[in-house]
Amino acid sequence: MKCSILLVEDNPDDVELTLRVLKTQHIANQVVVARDGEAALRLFFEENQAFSRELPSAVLLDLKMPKVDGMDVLRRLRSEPRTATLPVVVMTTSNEERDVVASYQLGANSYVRKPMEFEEFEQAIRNLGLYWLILNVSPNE
Amino acid sequence: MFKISYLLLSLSTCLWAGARQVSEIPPVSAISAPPSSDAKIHLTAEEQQWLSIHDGHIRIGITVIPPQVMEVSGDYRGLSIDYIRLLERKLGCKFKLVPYATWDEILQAAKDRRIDMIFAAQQTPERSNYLLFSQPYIELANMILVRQDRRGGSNLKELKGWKVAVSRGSAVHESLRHNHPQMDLHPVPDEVTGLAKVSMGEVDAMVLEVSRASYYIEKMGILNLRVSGQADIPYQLRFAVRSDWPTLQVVLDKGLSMITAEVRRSIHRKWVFVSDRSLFDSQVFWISSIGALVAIVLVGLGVTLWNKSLRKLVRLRTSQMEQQVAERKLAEEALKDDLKRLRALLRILHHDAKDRQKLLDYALDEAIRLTGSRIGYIYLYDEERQQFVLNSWSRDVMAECAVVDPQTRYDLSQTGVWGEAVRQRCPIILNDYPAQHPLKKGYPEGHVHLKKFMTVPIFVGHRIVATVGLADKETDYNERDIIQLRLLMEGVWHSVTLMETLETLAASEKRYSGLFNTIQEGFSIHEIITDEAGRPADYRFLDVNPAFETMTGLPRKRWVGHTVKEVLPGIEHAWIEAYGRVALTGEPSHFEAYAAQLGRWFQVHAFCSAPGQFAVLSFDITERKKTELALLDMTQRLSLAVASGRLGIWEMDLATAQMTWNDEMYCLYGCSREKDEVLVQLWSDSLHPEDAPFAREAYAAALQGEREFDPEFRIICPDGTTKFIKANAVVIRDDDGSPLRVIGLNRDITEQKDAEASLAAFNATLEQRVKDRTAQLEAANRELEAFSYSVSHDLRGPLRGIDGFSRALAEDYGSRLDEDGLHYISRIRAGAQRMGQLIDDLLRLSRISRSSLMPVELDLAELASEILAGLTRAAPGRPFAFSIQPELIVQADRRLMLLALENLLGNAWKFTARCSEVHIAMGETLSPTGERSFFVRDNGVGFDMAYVDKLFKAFQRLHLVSEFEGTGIGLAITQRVIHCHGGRIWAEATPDKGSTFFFTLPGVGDLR
Repeated sequence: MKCSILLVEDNPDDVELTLRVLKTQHIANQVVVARDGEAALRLFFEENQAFSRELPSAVLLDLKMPKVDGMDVLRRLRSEPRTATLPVVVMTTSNEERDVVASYQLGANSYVRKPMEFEEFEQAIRNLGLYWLILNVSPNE
Repeated sequence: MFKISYLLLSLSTCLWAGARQVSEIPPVSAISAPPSSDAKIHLTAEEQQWLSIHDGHIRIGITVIPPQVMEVSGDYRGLSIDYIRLLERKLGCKFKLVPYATWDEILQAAKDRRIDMIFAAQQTPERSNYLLFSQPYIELANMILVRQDRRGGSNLKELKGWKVAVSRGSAVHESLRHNHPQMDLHPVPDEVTGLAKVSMGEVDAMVLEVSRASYYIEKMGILNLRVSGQADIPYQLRFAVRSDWPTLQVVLDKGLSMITAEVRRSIHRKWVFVSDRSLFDSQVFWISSIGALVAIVLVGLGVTLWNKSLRKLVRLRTSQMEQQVAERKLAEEALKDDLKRLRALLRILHHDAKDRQKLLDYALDEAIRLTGSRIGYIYLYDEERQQFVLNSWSRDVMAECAVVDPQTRYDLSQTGVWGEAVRQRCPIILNDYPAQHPLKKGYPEGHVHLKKFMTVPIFVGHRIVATVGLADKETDYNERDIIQLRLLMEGVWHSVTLMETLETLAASEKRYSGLFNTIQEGFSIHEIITDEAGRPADYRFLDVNPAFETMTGLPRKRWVGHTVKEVLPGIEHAWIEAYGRVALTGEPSHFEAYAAQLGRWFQVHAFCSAPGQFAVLSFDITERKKTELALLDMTQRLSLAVASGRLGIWEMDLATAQMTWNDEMYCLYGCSREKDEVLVQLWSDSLHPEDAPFAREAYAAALQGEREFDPEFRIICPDGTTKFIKANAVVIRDDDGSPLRVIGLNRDITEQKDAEASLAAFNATLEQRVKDRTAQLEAANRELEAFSYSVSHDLRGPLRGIDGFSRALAEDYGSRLDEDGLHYISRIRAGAQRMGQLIDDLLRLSRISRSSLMPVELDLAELASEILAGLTRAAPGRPFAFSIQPELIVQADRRLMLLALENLLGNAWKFTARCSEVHIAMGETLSPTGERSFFVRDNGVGFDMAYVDKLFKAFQRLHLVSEFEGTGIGLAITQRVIHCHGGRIWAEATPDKGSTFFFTLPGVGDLR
């Protein structure tokens, strides 16, 4: 699936609001949503999944999730050669310093705090979509 | 001889014969006298002392006994008197003459010890009971005198049955009474009475010494007497002294033995012959004699015989005349000698001599001239060293003498005959010098050759101080030269002695004044002042030396002439008393004392310089005293330290292996001081078995010098208690490094050890407690972090949903909602956003507490300027006036201080929003407690100080959100930042006038 984004997010509100913003950008159909880390990893490492063969342009990864959290996902992605260079943007509610540091240490390409106010959130998502899908050149392409 | 006289006597020429007989008896019998008799007498020290004590107090009884003693115009003269005077000269002492009327009285006085000495006495057994007799000084004959018409009586035997007159108590009387009891003795009070009785025929004969007989016969004109024979009783005159004064007897004998035969002869000539001559001179004698001769002629005896007698008489007379002339001449010469000598002496004394050397040089010249000598010398003599030093020699000697290296110093033992004057202590004359003499040692090579030589010792008291030698007089040297030279030189020596005394005095004075002025010690002379009771009350300074001025710091004029009480009114009376004793008793004293008024210690030596005066030599010993006192002080402190520190002190004498302990040592080791306790053993036995090896090893190592002895060991006391001992010791070594003694300390450190043990135990549990507590805290911390993390993630998420979907609702369904509906949506959104803001602030606040401070040096003024610049940019056009004190340099965490100042300045900016003119100031000041503090002041709305307590609490606000936006977290954050830096923050405000926030930043070193 070419020029797609994987959104790993357990909060359905955030998923919906995110998709709502992306829809306004007309890129909502290129978004694959995984409701938790486990599901996200399945998409990459199981047969006949969305990213079994082709990789997305970027992964928007929430950190705090049940079962397999964002850090685990990132660690796993970076440990596999196929996904080692995949652009991963950590996008989470917290701006805890230790999360920021740990994310970059695990190889995150960017760390974005989800703004609480919707106008700001909308702007952030819009920028992310634009950047990762259009501007950024990914090594996998 | 006696036969002729007998013939003459038988021819009635008795008196001639008597005179002849007298003249022909050797005037002085062979009483031995030393050959060189003019030397000084040798007396032992005791004898000299005896004489000097009794000088002038030896009483001699005298009575007129011609010719021994005669009274001439109030003075006593006579043969024995001459001997007395001679003895006085020889012995150097004076006798006291006590006159008595009769010889009997003298004897009685001698018995009663009213006199000490008699003379002209004959020795008898009876007198020997109370008198000691000297050797005889004159020996004459006793004669038998009878009336002319009396036959017989030529010896004492023939006087048997005769009435014989004798002087009562005389030696003759005693002798006759004992040896010739058959004689009818008629004692008479005096010779005159006796002779008169013979003359009158009352008695048959008288036994009398011839010189006296002739004297009285002449004096009384008794003419009908004759000498019938010689009495066989020696007439020896002696001195006699009281029997308890044997020393005087010995001394007199020595004196008599020094009188030469010649002197004796001259004395004898003077008196006995004079007496004879008087006999013949007297008119009575001649008239009676002629009468007698006429009678002889008339009785028809031969003219020839008369003529013969007359010629003899004329011959005798002539010789007497010649002798008289010779004696006068002798006297004239003696007078001339005296004159010459006195002139010479006068010249010498007037001679302006610089010193003794010069004076003696001149005296030698005079001596040479006086004696008619050609050359001479003066050697000074030192009796102690027995050494001669040449002082003067005549110029002629130098001219003639060619001795290469003349010796000017001689030991007595080196000297030849010229040293005899010292060895024999009498003058020596050698009138034939070139002749062989056993004492001559020969000249030094080149010495002038002498013909005649005389040398005389010069005495001062009994010491020989010099010898004078003269030589080569034209005629022989004789006694006169000796007398002249001795008298001259003795006169000169008086002058020399005086000169030397003056020189010594001058030198002494010079030495004294030199010493007085230059010695480092203070020297002062005083007179003591006493009260009515004669006790010392004060003293006056007579003189002080420069050192005394320096020492006391007061000038001379303040002392001299003043009393000590005037100069030092507070003088301790002890000084006056101590010096008073010295001045009044003459006992010297030395002591140390403190003069409080001068503030100094003195060591003084005081002595009595004159009656009622004293001199003081003072040493300033203040420094020494201070040192001593300091030392004493230190010793006392040390003792105190030993006592209060409960230190056991021990000392080990390694030579004797003897150990000594102080009381505390016994106390430490729990034993009592017992005799014969071997302390080394006691120590060794007391050691705890576990500690004993290393304690002994440490001691051995210290002795070896390997290391210090400072072990800690345990001992077990006799009562079973164990003590910890801290020991120290020093080893005292000799120069070779061998140990001599060990001195050590023992200290009981049991309590200290116990305390250490319990402290260690406490520390061990403390660590565990700290660990536990830390673990609890860490757990709590982790929980808090987990909570905060959860809040951070989970609390904000729903708010975003609320806000987002409210927005979505408004966008998608806004057309279907009325105005109220839209308003509610906006309220929902506002509430959600405010909630988000609160959560963010809360999180920020919680993070500050967990932040690590990174203090750096930073300028608060610079931070403030940046923040204000940002604020003004966000609200352009707002009028403002900032005043920030530059360079507010502190040590603080930059990020946190930025946060704090953003809040404070943000508040100031925010609460001045409605002011027409914004004034914000920041600076440095001192807090009420004097701390360095900073302030931020604005002229904004201020607040009511009643609510100041709520100011710094989280979520507490003093204003409505509608008035001034904010969560109420800002000041809580600021306070936490300041607290994190150890500082304080407080505020002052007046509503509508503005507020001021103060904070301190004392330091951040220990705040992590």
